[in-house]
Order: sequence, then structure tokens, then C-alpha cells
Amino acid sequence: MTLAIELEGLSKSFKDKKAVDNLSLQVPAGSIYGFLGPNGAGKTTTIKLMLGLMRPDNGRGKILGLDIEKESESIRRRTGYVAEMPHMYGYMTVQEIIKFCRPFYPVWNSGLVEKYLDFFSLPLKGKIKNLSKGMNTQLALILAIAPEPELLVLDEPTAGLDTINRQELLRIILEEISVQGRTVFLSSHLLHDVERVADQVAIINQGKLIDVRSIDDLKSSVKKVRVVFQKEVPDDLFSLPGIQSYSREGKAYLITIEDNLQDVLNAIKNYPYFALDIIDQNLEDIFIDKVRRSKA
Amino acid sequence: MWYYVDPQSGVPIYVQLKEQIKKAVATGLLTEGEQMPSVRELALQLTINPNTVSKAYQELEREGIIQTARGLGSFVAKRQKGKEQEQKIALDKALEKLMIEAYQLSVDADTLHNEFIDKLAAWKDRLVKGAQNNDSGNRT
Repeated sequence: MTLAIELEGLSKSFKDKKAVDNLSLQVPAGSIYGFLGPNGAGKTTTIKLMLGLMRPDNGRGKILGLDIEKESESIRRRTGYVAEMPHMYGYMTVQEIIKFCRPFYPVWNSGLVEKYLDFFSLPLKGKIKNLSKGMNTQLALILAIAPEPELLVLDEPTAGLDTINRQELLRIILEEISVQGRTVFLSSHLLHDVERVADQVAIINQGKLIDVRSIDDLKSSVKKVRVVFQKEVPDDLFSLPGIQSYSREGKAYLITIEDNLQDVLNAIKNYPYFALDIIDQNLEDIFIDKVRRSKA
Repeated sequence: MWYYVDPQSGVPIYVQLKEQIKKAVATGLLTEGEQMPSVRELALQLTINPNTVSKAYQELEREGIIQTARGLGSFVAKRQKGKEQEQKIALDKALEKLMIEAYQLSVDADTLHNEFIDKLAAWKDRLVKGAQNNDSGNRT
């Protein structure tokens, strides 16, 4: 398996605050990788380290096989990047910034640029400072995909976009990058978008990696079980491997289980119960649970 | 369009897709030999990851529901004679689910029996003929 991104023990502190803490990631080439975390979890810092826009205090990393410290210029030439708040020269017009960006890259797909300028109806002669937030993101996306990058990195690209624009943005990412077999690294706190398109997700909080898994795997292995027992049950029932947490209200229990569902169910069923439901968890449920537990 | 996925469901998207394709085949919406949309097409239409569509197709192929010809695409496969053991296990599971539902809804045995007969009558022509007239492949 070829890796598009390989990070090993990356750390970065600002004064005494650890923004990224011993972070390791492996992103397979050709995948859509969701990078999830609450605000301030260290997502943007990680991306800046990846692209050589910041230097790590510790650890190392390779992007498309290139060293993040020594070869960051080559990395940026081969990677498309849509920043959280794209800062583009506000005094330039749309047309001017396209002309300005073009010479930095070995490849530039003008057909693609025209197609999406037209699709989004961006005003060619309009000044960037006068564009709406949505148009800004759309323009940043066009500039990012024009060089036909092997890797597209997006930092909260859908924040501030309406539903239709968000869906369109995802479709373009799929059409222009994913179905071409190229890699997408999508950082977001908006889980619905990630849930729709990502193969794998990494969840981080307070700079640390909490979990890495395929979304399908997360959904099939993390469940909640709601059970109402007929009699009191011993507390050690809930110390079985796989049980992440539980809460109780009288004889009713809500149990969060990861990975060991069948064994836990068998153990529970040894005690007479009135009702037992297995509740599927979507990404949001799982995310909130994991982030909360990581704080505890 | 027939296919619809709910990304926010706790059921993986590829499983949702698989079930819908199976349903489309079982109800005759997709017919034997019919070409499936390409992975790319379906991924873009549903705005989902192409790998997710591939995964659904791969599993359907393993289950003998579709066939993939290199370079040509995927097609609805000829219905295979199910392996007896697998048939039995899958059927047993489905029936058990039905019984649980019936229990929860307090449906009595006679009602369940009649409902089953009605459903069976509606589906009869679409199901494989029994052992008695196995060689008359014609459907009436």
C-alpha cells in the first residue's frame, strides 16, 4: 500500500500549550481521509506542519514520499490546499489571481478552471475582497485543483457554506480528485460531510490521536446496548472487555460497547431481562462519545 | 433515481447500497443481464466515495448477484441456484426476524399464517419453482 501521508510522532507547542502531541498518521494513496476533531484540537496546526508552513518541535513526516522539513517546496507544488480561511490578495481580481498562481505549478488545467468558474458563476473581474465567503472557498478550490494535485488537503472547507454549496463541493472533490485515484485529506468538525465521503477517519483531541478507523468499521463495531434487567445484576458484569462506559437508571442500563459486542451480549443475556435493544451509532454519536472520554 | 443513501445512519453506506440493489433485483427493477451503473457514475450521483460503491459491488459479486466483466462493467447475474446450507441459514435468520416482529406486534399465529400466504401468492411467480416442476423454466 502506498502512503500519501506518513506522520511519525509529530509534536508542536506554542509557548507551553501542546497543539500537536506525538501524532502519527498513515493515509493510503487514493483514499479520502477524514481528519476530525473539535475546534482547537490541533487540526490546522497538523496541516501546516504537513505542508511545511510550520516546523515541528519533534517527529517527522513524509507527504507523497517527500520530507516535510527538507522538501516542503516540492510538497506544496504537488499538493492542493484549501485553507480554513483562504487569505488571498484582496486587491486582485479573480482573473488576476488565476494568472498569478499559474506559474508556480508544473501543470495547470485551464479547461478545469474555466469549467468551474462558469459553474460557480464567479465574476472574473470582481475583486477578491468583494467575494462572499462561499465564493472565496469556491475560488480557493478551483486554484487548488487546477494543478491536478496528487493530494488535495482541505481544512474545514465546508464551514460557512450552505447545504447546496457543501454538496457541490463534495461532488467536485469526488469527481476531480477521487475518481481519478488521487488522495483527499479532509479536515472538518462537520461530521455529516465526512461521513458521506470518507473511507477512513482519524479523530484527534487536544493534539492527540484518539482513534483511526474506517467509517464502516466504526459503525459496525461501536454500538450502544439498552437493556432493562428483571433483577439486580452484579457490577462486575460491566467490567468485561469491550465495554467502554455505561450509565444506569434503576434496572435500566445504557452500555457503550466497542469491538467485543457478541461476548458482551452473551454475558448480558445470562441475566433475565425485559428488553434489550442494540442501537446503531452514527459518526456523530461515536465522535462525541470518544472526544468526551478522551477528556476524562 | 432508485438508490438513496443516508450517510447519517448507523448502517454503513455500502450495506445500505447492497440491500437496495438486492431489492431492485428481487423485485425485477433490475433484470438479468442488465448493466449496472459504473462505480464512478453511482458515486457521483449519490455523492459518496467511489471505494464505497466498489465495496458494495465486490460483495454483491461474491454473493453471485452481479457479475463484473473487465473493461465492460458490472451486470446483473443470472440467478444462481442457492447452496442449500447457505439458503437455510439465511432463511432461518429472516424468519426469526419475522417471528420477533410478530411477537412484538402481538400478531396471532393465524393472522401471521394468512398474511404469509397472501405475500407468498403475490411473490409466487417471481420465486424459483419448487422441486416438483423444476425443469419447466417458463414463468407463467
